[in-house]
This record gives sequence, structure tokens and C-alpha cells, in this order.
Amino acid sequence: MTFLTPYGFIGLLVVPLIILLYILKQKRENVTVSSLILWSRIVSDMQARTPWQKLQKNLLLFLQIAAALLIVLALTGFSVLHQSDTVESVIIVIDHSLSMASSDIEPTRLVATKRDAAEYADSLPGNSRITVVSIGREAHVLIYDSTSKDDVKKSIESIRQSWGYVDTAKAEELVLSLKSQDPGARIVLFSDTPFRFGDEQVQFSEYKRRTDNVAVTGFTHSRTGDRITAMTVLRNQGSDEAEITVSLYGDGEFLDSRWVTVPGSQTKTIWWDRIPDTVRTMRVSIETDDILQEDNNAYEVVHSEETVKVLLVSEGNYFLEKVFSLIDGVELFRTTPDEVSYEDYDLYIFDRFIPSKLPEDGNIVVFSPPPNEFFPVGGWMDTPEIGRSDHKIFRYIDRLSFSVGRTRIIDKPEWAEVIMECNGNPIIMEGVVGNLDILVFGFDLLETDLPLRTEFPILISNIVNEYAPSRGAVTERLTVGDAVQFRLNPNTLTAYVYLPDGKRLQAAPPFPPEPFLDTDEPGIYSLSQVKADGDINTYFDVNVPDEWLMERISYGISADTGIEHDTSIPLKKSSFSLTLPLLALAIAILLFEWWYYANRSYV
Amino acid sequence: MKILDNDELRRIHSLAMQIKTPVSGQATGNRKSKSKGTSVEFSDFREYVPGDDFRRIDWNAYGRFNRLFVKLYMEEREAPVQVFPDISLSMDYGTPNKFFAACRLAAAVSYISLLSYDSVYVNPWNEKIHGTYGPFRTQSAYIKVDNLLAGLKASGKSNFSDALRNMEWKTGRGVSFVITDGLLREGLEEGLKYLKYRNQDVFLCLVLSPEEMSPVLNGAVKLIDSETGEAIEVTVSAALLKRYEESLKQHLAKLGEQCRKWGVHFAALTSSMPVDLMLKTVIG
Repeated sequence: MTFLTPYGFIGLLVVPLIILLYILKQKRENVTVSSLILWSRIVSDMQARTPWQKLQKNLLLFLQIAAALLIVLALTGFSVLHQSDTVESVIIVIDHSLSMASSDIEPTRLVATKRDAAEYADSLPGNSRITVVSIGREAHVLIYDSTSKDDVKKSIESIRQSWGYVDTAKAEELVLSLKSQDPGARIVLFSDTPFRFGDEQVQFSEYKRRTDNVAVTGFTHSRTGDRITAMTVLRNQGSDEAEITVSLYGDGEFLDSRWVTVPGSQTKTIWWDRIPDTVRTMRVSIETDDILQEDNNAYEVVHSEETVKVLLVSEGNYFLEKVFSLIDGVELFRTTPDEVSYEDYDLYIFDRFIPSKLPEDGNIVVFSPPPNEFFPVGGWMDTPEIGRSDHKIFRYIDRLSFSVGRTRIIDKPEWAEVIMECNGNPIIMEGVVGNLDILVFGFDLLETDLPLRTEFPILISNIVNEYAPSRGAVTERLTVGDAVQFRLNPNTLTAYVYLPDGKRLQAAPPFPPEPFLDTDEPGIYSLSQVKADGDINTYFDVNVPDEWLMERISYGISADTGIEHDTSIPLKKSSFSLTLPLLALAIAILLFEWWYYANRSYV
Repeated sequence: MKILDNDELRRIHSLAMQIKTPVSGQATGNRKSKSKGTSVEFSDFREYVPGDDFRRIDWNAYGRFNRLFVKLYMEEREAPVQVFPDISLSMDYGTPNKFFAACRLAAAVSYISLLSYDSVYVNPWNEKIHGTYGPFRTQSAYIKVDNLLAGLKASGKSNFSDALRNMEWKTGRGVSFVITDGLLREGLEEGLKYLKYRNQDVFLCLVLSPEEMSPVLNGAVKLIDSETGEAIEVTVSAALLKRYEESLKQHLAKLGEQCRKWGVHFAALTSSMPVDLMLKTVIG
């Protein structure tokens, strides 16, 4: 429905005038009669017989108002949107990212979007070919080139709310791919953000009425002695200043609360101290309601204080000894390669050495491996070119650049995956042998400038976090939908994951475990590793992403300049004017009013 | 101005009044009276007392009873006809005008009464009697009656009983014609009862205008009473007019029923009727 000439609403001023006419005393024509005896008798008689006289009188008023409203609607060009007759090819793109859960459009933006998209699909000409794409963290084609509107509506209905941001690159790639297959197709976007798809023209139907949302976009902690300090970052996504209450909970119990003011389109950082060191999980919550509740909570697992025992097997390596001493919670033991058996350590570092029998209770990191029975090692490759890697051991290291004098020539075994290579020769690789995770550096730390780089301690810290099982099975920050690769204890027999709602899922066997994908719900997850000598229970947190920021970073939208609408045009449908039916109805009401007036049974 | 023209007078000339009740006039006329006197119609016997006209002794009775009896005869006397035209403001309404129609009926009644050698008294009234004019006894006196009626003007409110209460009653048993529209707030019933108390053969002649029988009104109007100036606001509809007509019928039916109860002749007339038809309806 639409109003072609909204100025017609000015006609609503007639309604108070009609009411005013009823309020004003009616001017009557004076008629002299011989006597009022009969008239007064009738009036009193009829008034006595109609106890609902006022209501009946008002009926005329209501009828006149109804007629006036209908005439006003006719003047506004009230029209019903309907389908055109041209067969079309349409790509319906529906955003189901986190922000679409906002309730500024009842009940949520996504529900309204799905309803309108289904209605739009229904309004298309009968033989239209419709493709439905959902965009979020992943972009999916739900139905392709279908002429069955029932199937299209079912596919639209099947879209579920997701908790991630829209990966614009994936969305654009998929939509442009579909568009290239059918260049005549029209792209219709149902979203709260006017995403662009190349230079293609997009019909955009915006689902956003308000932006007054404050989100928890960061939550972390640090341990100092026996005290835990936590930091929370709040982002006000609206333009107006927001006053909110933020509370902190530890293991489900209330710990602290703050009343904070967050300026419009800015962030605010809150520090929480005096958190008892017995707390294992924390939740921070914005208690003040806004249009999006799902981003009002953030979860954080307090790292275990348990010391990681690391055994360094080396003829002597000053750099490794020094760097491990810098990492909190690491207890380093040193030994020489003449040791016979290795056990009771969480992580073994073999420097220029590999034992004939690998340990069974801890993961292994090898630097410059000599020839051994586990993987083929040849001669040396001089001055290999060092590339870049996004592997987890390089997390928090943006532009690591180092040089290597020479590296071992290694024939990559089947169990290994290459992290860094040069001309097909693995420089760094990892894999699983038995239940053990093995990380292999082909070069000697003494023949590289890597230990001299400031990033070196970060690299070693990442290695400890990744390969020391007691540090927790999950070390990375997870957002909903992320796949989790558990690094289980080598002696683990079975592993279960308990979801925030208490549901239990089996993570292992098989060994090594498959990536865990059921992280669709933000909250605290629990990993339970069942071993012969006792269970290990660890926690990991899954949070919603900062969609507002992520979409702007990935999409290049400036928060200050607002959203661009360059390629977006309003979604429009053909309309059928209801002017004549409305006028006909108004006339019918007026005729009825006249008939009623002429046949009324009151004075 | 003459109330009735010669044509109308000719048309009503032949009408004779059928008055059943004996009257008690002063002069000899054509009506039976309770007074015993000289006429051809036998009434009763009575023993002779000195002073009686011995010519009226019934000698045949004396022969049978050996006593003197005097024959008594019904004296034929004139009928005192009282005409009460309503001259209140409510009568000055309608087309043709009710007041004028009432005067015409009064003139017609007077005319045929005078033709019958009755004495006619004209008593214009509203809330009081504005004089008792008469008696008019001869046919030639009609012109006076006509002039009298032509000189009347509508004024004031109507209250028949109050009017009669102040009236100087000069006659005994007789005939009374009350000509009104019957739209009196009070006093009509009491007045009629008073007339019956005065041994009058009463004729109630209700004269209504066509506008009162079927009002021609529409929309929102303010109705003003011509006598009292009171007003009432109504929004006229077909249903309301229907209700009015029903109410008028009930009003007339109720008056007719009461008149039958009191022995009052009742006639409902409209001002648009020809005068001879009105007269026939009244004495019919």
C-alpha cells in the first residue's frame, strides 16, 4: 500500500470541523404553529422511548467522519502495490546478520524482511525466475532460478537469524557470480545496510528505523597476583548519547554494576577490578534495553593459572632459555639430548635433536631436525625466502620479517601440513603423529635473526598456548559461527562439549577431532576431556562480533559520513489506485446516512 | 365584508336543524319546550284550578270522571342558540385560515337558526368571553350576525372553562355550538361539562387546517406556539410526521369518545371544507 499524493492528508482537517459542527448549536428555521400541544407530546414520548438517543445521534457523526476519511484517503491517492505483467529474473538477497535481530521493526528486522520478501516474490509475475541468497558470515544460495513461488517462499522462510556480520566480500562474490550467469537479473536487497555488489544496480528495501543500540564489543581480562582485572569496551552505534547500566557477573553471580554514559557513535571503556581470582567465567551485561539485545552480553573465560611444564632438550640455546623465562605460567626444564625417556611434561622442545622414541604425554616442537625415522630430512637449503603466514602461531604479529641462513630440506610427510615453505620445501610445518601434535621448524634458531626480533616472544607464547594442552583446549577468541579446532590432551579418550544451553555434544573420537562447528550461540562453552586418570574440564567463550565495526572496515563505510546509497534505488512496485472504490464507498455511506436521517425514529 | 356570500347562503337555506332536546326560550318559536302553553301538540292533563283558561277544560273527561280537567299542550318556543367561536391566536393559522372557517361556520349556524325562528347568541371567546351578542331573532338579523363575525379579530390564549365562568348566562335550556380547533391546553373538557350542566345541547365543532392535519415541515426547525410563544426544537423526519399524524388521530378519537360519553355532538372539520359541507357534517 502506498499514498501517491500524501498532501491529501491535509483533508483530515475536515474531521475536527465535522465534530465542531456537532458541538456548535444548530441554527434552526423558526416555524410558527397553532399549538405545540401535539408536538411536545410526541417529543417527550419519543425521547422516552429511545434511551440510546445520543448514540443514535452520534451515528450520523460517525458516518460523516467515515465518509470524510474515505474521501481523504481517495485524495491521498491511496493505492495497493501489485505485480507488473513483465516476466522477470530476480535475485533476492536477504541479510540475516546480527543487526537484523534488532527490534526497531516489530518483531525483528529479519522477520519483517522475510515477510516482505515473500510478499514481493508473490507479487512478481507468474513465470518469474527467482534466486534467493542469504548473506551473513557466509553467503548461500537457498534456491536458484526457480519459477515456483511456493518453493521460493519456503526457502525465504527457512532463513534463520545468525549472529555474525555480513562478509561483504563473500556476499559480493556470490551475487556477482549469479548476476554474471543471468545479466538481465534484477538484484533486490532486503537489509538494514545498503550493500553494494560491484557496480550493479540494486533495488534496496531498507529495514532500519532506529539506531539506538549500545553493544559490548570487547571483553577481556588480566591476572595480577591474586586479583583479576577485566576490561569492557562498549560501542554506542546510535548518534545520540546513551545512559546505560552495565553489570558484571562471575560464574553466574553478580559482582559489580556501573552507570555509564556513552557518547553517540563512540566507544567507552570500563575497567572492573577486585574480581576474585576464584572466578572461572565472567559475563558482562548491558541491563538497559535497546533495539538489539543479542549484543548486550559478552563472555570471558578466566585463563587457568596452572603452570605449563616445558622441557627444552638442547645442547644449549640461550634464546629459547631466555624467551621461555619471560612467559608467565611457564616452568622451563632443560636437559641434553642424552636423556633416554621423556614424560610428565606438557610441551617438549627439541632443539637440533629428535629422540628415537617420541614422548606420549606432551606435544612437540622441533627446531632444525636431524635425519630421523618420523619424517625424511635431507641436506640444507641456503638463504630460503621467508614468506608470510596466517597460522595461529603468528597471531598478533602483523608484519614479521626475518632472515634464515639455511634450513633443512624436508620431504613433507603425509601427516604434516605446511605452514611456511620455500620452493616446495617446508620451512615450518605441523601435524599429528599418534595423539601428539608436532610443530617443526626447519631452521636452527642460531642461524636466523628471528630471536632478535621483538615479535619472537609473541611467537613462542603463541606456540605455548597452542601446543601446551593444559593451557586450555581453545586459545583463540571465538565469535559465533567460528569453527573450533580442539587441541586435546594426548591421553584423552573421549571429549564432550557442553553448549551454553546445557546440551552435550561429542567432539572426540575421532582423533584428531574434527573442527567443532556448533558455536552458533554466544556464551560459555565447556570442553570435558575424559582420560583414564581423570577428567579435564576447560571452558571457552564465544561472543558476537562487533558487526557495526566489521562491516564498516570490510565495506569501507565511514561512520561519520553515514551510509552510501550510490547504487541503491528504492524498491517499487506497480500500484493500483483505490481512489474510485474509496469515493464509491464514501458515496454509499453518505447515501446510507441520508436514508438513516430520513427514517430515524428520534427528534 | 360578508362572511358568507349569497350562493353559500342559498345552499344552506334548505338545511333544517335536527335538534332533539327541548329548549327553554323566552319567545314563542318553532321548538318544543317543557313549558306548557298554546300549541296543537297535546302534552298532559291537569285538574282545573281557578284561574285556568276554562276554554281548555276537557269536557269529555268531565263526562266520564265528573271532575274538571284541563288539557295541557306543549308550548312551542324559540330555541336559544349559543354560538361560541374560538377567537384565540391559535385559530389564526393555516390556509384556508381556521379563524375565517370558524366564523363562516358560526355564520352558517346562525343563519339556519334564524331561519328556524330561533334566537341566536354569539359569544366570541378566548380566555374570556368577549361579549354576548344577541339575541338575534329574525332572518333579517342575520346581517348583524354577519357584521359581528366579520369584525372579530384573533387574539389571546384560549381557555374555554375560564371564559364560561365569567359569562353572564341569559338563557336556559338551548343549543350551544362550540367552534374551536380543540388544541387547548386546558379548559375545553370543563367548558363542555359546564354547558351540559346548563342543559345545553352541545355541538363541538373542531376546525383544523390542512397544515395541522398533514404538516409540511422538513429538517431542523424551531416550532413556536402562536399563543404562548413557547418554542421546541425538532428535526423533522418522515417518521416524526407519521408520529404526529398518529398523535392527532388519537387526540381527535379521544375527544370524540369523551363527547359521546357526555352526550356532546362532535364533528371534526377542516378549514378547507365548503361551509355547507361543514354544516352538514355538524348537524348531519
